[in-house]
Amino acid sequence: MSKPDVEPPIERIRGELRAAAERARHQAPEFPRRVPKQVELQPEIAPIVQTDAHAGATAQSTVANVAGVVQLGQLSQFHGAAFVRNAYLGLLGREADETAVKSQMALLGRGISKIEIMGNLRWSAEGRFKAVSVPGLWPRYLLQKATHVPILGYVLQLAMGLAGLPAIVRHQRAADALHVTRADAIEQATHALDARLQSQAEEGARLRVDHDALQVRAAAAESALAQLSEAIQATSGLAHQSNQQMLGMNHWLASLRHSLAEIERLAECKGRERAVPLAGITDGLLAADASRSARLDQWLEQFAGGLPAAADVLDLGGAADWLDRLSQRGVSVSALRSIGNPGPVAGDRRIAVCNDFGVALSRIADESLHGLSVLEASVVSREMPLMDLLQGAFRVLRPNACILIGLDRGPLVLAELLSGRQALAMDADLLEAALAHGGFHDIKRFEANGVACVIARRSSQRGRA
Amino acid sequence: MKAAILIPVLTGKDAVGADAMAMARVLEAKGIDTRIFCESAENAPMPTWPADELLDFAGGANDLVIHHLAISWPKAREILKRCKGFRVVKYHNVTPAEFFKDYSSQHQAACESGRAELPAMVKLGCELYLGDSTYNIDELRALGVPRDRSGVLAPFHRVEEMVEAEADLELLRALSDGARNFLMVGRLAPNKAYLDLIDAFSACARMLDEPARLILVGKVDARLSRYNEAVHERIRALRLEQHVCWINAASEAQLKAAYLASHAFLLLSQHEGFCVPLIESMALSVPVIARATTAIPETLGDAGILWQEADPWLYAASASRIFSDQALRADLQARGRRRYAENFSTQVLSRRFMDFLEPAL
Repeated sequence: MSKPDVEPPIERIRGELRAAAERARHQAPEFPRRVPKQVELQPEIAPIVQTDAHAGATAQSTVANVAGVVQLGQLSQFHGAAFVRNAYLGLLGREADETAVKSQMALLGRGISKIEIMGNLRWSAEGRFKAVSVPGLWPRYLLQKATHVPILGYVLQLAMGLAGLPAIVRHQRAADALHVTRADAIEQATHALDARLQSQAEEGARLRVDHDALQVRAAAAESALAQLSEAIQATSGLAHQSNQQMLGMNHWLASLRHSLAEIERLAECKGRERAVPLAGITDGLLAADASRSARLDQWLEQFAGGLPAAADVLDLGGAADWLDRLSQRGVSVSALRSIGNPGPVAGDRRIAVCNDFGVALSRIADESLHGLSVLEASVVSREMPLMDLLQGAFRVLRPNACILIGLDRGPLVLAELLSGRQALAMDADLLEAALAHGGFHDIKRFEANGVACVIARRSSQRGRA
Repeated sequence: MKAAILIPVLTGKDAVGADAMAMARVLEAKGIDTRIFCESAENAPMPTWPADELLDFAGGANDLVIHHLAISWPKAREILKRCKGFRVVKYHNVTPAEFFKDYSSQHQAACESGRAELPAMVKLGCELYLGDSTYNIDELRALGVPRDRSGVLAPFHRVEEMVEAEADLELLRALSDGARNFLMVGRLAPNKAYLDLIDAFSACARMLDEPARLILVGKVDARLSRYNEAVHERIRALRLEQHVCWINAASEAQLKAAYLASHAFLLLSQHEGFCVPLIESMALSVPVIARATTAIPETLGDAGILWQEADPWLYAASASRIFSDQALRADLQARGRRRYAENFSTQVLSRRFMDFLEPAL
């Protein structure tokens, strides 16, 4: 069976999705076109110039207007690590690794100027290979390097210092003003930080309390979990025990079924064993009963006369000569014989052997038969009480169907006698009364050679006729 | 027997580094003395040795050398040439240079150089060539690698560690505000087609009746500033500034929080040699809507919705359907988990890895 709701075919869904996408496209405004835009310098780390590592030629810059050219100001505007990183990007075209940043920062810390650091990078082996142009860097770098020459360098630095003294004083004043402003800002920031620290400390204390409470709850939960685990373990043990018991019961039932089947098989074998000699004896006795044939013919005439063509008839007892007669009249006859009765049935396919007439009768559909015959009621009644028999007969017979109940001394009675059992004593009056009480009408009695039978019709409704 | 893993740069967080380290761990667990040789290492949780010392350690006839090929590194070829034992090349793919043409000549040159090295690497005639995917290994087979000396082995990953790790609860709380979260994990590079991704997300945001957010987890490369700015410009043009959450160089806890908070994984990449984020999504039950390019269909299988086209509305309609159709969502999640367990769990990969190495052991 297909399961469209649980596992929808992906292709169907894809089709639906395409349709939904199409609808959405028509309803929505168009997407704006993608327009390339000039990238601006980022405040901290931004590539200044990218160089082609393999060709050695300068490549298109993301910020500079002239390919492979960097202005001094573009690099020196940054401070500290940002300066170092931008210098690497600008002059070497690559990111500075952490070691490089550390070593360059150390140089800055020792008072080495940015010009010298830029110059060192630009005229390093890698920088010369990249050959980025930095207008104005070379003379400044040369001057910075000259300051390292003994004596001459000192004189040069002195001269440069004296020449730059007015500018230095101006820068000093500006720096003083800047530092005062920064100090105020730092003080304010420190106060703010103090306040935040205080708040964080309070928050920390609250969290500690929460943490303790949570620990208590966790301990309780752990204990509950342990109890639950124990309960689960106990239940699991019980379930295992039950399972074992069920398996044992199942085994016992299987064994019982097997024993019952064996008993039934043995009973059937025994019945068959008995049937062979019984058949010989009863056949002989019945053959000696000269009046039986005429009696059965008379009963058949009365019984079958009321049946429709190809009528369905059930016989309880199953005397072969009676069944032959019914078949010859075009009646579709089947017969039931109780397993408790050792009568001769072996080999006769028309006769089914059952454990219990009541159960066998209960399996027949309501109002499905045209006729029911019981030739030897004195034996059948021992297996199934007469009133139960009539109640069952009323259910399975169609309205106005025929029932024949005889008190014949046939193969069943003979087999009972030969087995040491005795048939019930019944008489025709009793039968008539029972039939009338059981919902049958048109009750007629026939007697021949001292043997009686009663034939009646089933009423439409139960009740005394 | 000794085993050497050869890799140019060992990085603790990237996919190639994770693959190399996991291989070393598997071999160590089998009792094989294993070392990782590289030029440099960043945040690597394992000790490494200089690449120049590999031949002294595992250059013998009974040794095993596994080279992870993802970028240009001529030294690897020289080392492999002198190794006498069982040589394995694990190919993670090299991004085609054309993707970087308009954005970075440096990247373009590096990729061209990496691709140019492939024929020489094939010519070495190593004992085994492995690809992360059929897509990858077919590139080497086209250059002459014989079928009987090649195979597919998905990369080892850190998915199980991530599943076990604690998520960044602050981030998780911030992202769990009722908005529909779309996730993309991958470095910001042109081959990942972030511009198409932004368009698709824009369509999703317009189509859904509820607030939407795009979570971008990926490292930003300063050298690709032109591309970075193009992506930012696209976000501004579509007025999505308030809808995009960018997590640069995310920690494991942040990555896990991003997966846990996401309702769909949106992938429009144009070139992937395998795509580890797809299996992370499968393992963490995030439904995937992806573009069927390169190795993506092979990795995803039937555990997601795939489209050949980059049409933004197809992705929007798919997302809308996944959010409204519980049965479909549950089905995709179940398929994802099953696919991960059957094909990409560490246990499965370890077994396949050892099967490939059987001739050498």
